[in-house]
Amino acid sequence: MNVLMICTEKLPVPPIRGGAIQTYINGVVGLLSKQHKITLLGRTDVDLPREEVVNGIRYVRVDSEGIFELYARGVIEFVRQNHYDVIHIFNRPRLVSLIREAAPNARIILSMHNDMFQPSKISNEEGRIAVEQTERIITISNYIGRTICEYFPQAVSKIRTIYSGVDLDRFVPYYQSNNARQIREQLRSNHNINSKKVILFVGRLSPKKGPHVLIRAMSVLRRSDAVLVVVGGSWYSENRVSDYVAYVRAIAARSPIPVLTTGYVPADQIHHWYWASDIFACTSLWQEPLARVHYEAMAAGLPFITTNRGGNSEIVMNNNGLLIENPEEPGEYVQKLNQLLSDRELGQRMGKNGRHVAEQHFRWNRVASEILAVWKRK
Amino acid sequence: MQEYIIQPWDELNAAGSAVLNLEQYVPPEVEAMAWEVVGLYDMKVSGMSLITAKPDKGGAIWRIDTNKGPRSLKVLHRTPYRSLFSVGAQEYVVRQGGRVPSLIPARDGQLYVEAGGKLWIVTDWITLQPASKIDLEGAMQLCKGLGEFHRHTKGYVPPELAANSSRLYKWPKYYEKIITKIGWFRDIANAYSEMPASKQLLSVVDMFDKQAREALVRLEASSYYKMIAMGEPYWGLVHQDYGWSNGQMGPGGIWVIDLDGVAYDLPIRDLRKLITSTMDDMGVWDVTWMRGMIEAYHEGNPIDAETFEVLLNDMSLPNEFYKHVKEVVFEPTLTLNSELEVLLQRLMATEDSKRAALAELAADKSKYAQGDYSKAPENYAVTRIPSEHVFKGTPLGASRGETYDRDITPEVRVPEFAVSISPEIAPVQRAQRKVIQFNLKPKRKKQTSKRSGSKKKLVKNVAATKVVSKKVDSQKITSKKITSKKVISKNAAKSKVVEKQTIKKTTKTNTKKIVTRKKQSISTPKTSPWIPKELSALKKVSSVKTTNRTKTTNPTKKTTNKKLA
Repeated sequence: MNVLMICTEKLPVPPIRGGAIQTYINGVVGLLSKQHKITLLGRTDVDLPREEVVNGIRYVRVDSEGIFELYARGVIEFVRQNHYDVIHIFNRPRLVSLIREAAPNARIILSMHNDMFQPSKISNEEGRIAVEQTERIITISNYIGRTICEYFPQAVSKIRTIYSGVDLDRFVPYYQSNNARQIREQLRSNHNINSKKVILFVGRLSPKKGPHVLIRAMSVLRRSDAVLVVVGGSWYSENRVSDYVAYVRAIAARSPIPVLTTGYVPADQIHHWYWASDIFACTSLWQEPLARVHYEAMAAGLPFITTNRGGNSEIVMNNNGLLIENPEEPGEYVQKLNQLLSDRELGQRMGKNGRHVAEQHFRWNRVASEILAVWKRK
Repeated sequence: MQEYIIQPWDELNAAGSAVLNLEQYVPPEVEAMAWEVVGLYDMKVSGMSLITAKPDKGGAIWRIDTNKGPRSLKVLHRTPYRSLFSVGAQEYVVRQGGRVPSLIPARDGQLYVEAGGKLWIVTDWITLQPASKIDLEGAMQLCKGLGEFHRHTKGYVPPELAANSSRLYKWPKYYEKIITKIGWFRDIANAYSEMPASKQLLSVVDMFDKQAREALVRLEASSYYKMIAMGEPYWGLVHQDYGWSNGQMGPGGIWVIDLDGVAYDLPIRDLRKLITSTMDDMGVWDVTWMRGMIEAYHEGNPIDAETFEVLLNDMSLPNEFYKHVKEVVFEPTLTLNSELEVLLQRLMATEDSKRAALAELAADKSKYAQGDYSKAPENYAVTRIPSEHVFKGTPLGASRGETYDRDITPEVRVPEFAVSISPEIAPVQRAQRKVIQFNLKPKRKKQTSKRSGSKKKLVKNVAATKVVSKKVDSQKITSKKITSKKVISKNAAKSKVVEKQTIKKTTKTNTKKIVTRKKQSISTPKTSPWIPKELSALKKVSSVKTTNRTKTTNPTKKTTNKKLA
């Protein structure tokens, strides 16, 4: 079949600028293209050509400047001029009605990665049409599926959860690779944390991501062997740092347990930090659809602590991690971190369990085959 | 050739030239650009003097002496898409009869010039005098002028590609943010407990925290939600920076200047800020002043009882505490000083008078009539006054509104969706997002950049636009002549010409001048995911001939990596 996959107006594919949706698409498109003729429509980028064919996949890029309306124009124009059997839209339900008009006979599939069906993001009318005109609504977590049904109960029969995946070769437990082991040693000695138990946070510094609570927990956690590493988001830009970053920086400065910031780490080197760490913490306060860092942590064999928000709890299974019920307060972090820090074996077991779970459930080929099944109308 | 892109120049001080008052300075490139910009207007400029600059943002305003009288030239520091919103607003207010300086069109009929990645505007220069700051009469003049301004913004709908600027739906979020940040102040005071102000801060923070929480509860219970259901144009715009410098006496009354930051909101937010900061400055909450200011405002823009209630509640937020303390997150070892300690003591001293004043004012609610919020539009009709001047895309259909971002906690636990769900689950009442309508006409013909300078034909009477919502369709103005405009999109390599429809009363052909650009220095930000630069089409100021409609810059022959023009 001729399949058109439409990414969002925000970030390009391949994920040279990051992005969870972009990473998801990139993880599966190679596998999908083995069975179908794929065209991947995305936004332009200064470092990417407007059109190219790579490994049999046709990439077409449309100007957006990050603005949906601008992007949609280019998308619709493209759809009008090209025929596709299946049009698979990523995370933009507002595109559905427009695409249906431009391609009256195409099968439309919609992948939802977050709460774009909420009333502040889509009108009742557009949402209704989106649900009506799609054949299937794929979500990355049951949580997202549930929220869609809350706004549009009629969507229930169309929804299917297809969890994301992770690169199991890049995100691998450090003890499974000499190279990884070396890099671990190197990073740790570079930062003088060789003898420490490293707690890792990966994510943007924003209030809804919640790293401030974890840092506050460091003041209460009485352990001299621990250190917290915060990857992502620099708090050392001198000017124009946000008030939240300033706040985090200020409390980190007074933390008895050292808080290290790595500054910006490019996407192709982030896995080094998973190798260098011992415990992973996701501290999201918002109703997170399902952060992909969980898959990365599991694949890297790290025990993790995460919050019971959004879809995050859906991947806590087989004793691979610990769940925080009240992530607004440091208390549970202290308790659970103490658990992991004082019982080394517990952490190791959890990490191994996580790796098994990742190997069994979160490979990209599982994701791709589920998508293929949807395309086959299964 | 690469055009200079205007960037903030506040870093210059860091280079060691501390002598420089950066607010009285613009880089020479900006100065040169200013001269080029004024050359695009039908006037002879004999002198240009910098009034003030915003070095941290990249903005500036000059007074220019011309053969048509004194005028002002301003470079708007925001992105062109955002500036479009305020430029459109200014024009609208002028047309509505508001006392706001008129925008002078350039020779091509546009109300602005795009250069250096920013929008530039020329307006009349009005001779103004600040209202008296030391007596109630001056404050009342200011408030009445504010009301008049707000009244003239009602019904505003921005041009199509303008980025929407709105706070209307964000009140609960804003109140929550205050509550959150008060928690940060507490954390910081605890972590830096040895600092002079920490103890004082810790002793008062709980009280202010409680005030903020109570204000949020009252907001949620108030008429706020039914008020915002009336939509953005209904309420009009707030100025966001109104005070004794931006509202000044001129011919006929108070004139309002510096509309850069206008946004949709409940208008009384401007009023609230003015009242509370005045009381804060005075050190005591004076009911006579407060009442006088509100009544003067009411003269300029009549308010109803519901609005009065929201106003009072907004005043009950610990705004003053928040405003004075919020800097502690930056360098607490410096900001938690004895100066802050004194300030907090002063704040506490005025607390009683604030409480008493608000209690007394509450009774005034009965002086104001009940409002009528029964006809909340679902897709509100747009009352638009088409501009005679070219304006980039007069909008068709409903404006781009945002609905409020309410934290929706599901009231019903929905089981796994493999099981069918009872359709009686009633969603929580929410304001619905307004339908966005935009035109997706098929292109008439592709134009390449090689045909630079060619005039684009106007296509009249094109087929009706496709709209998303049928409802809006019926409200569309079908009887007017529709002319299509061509907009050259950003990419110069293959300049796509996207047709836009506008409704015009005149047959005068005015095209948008979006000129595609080649290269632009884009630095990959290292600290955050890719953020699109403001790549609005830029005009090579020096090379534009005023008779040409559209112009493209050098066509590119690059075949490899394309740049985002």
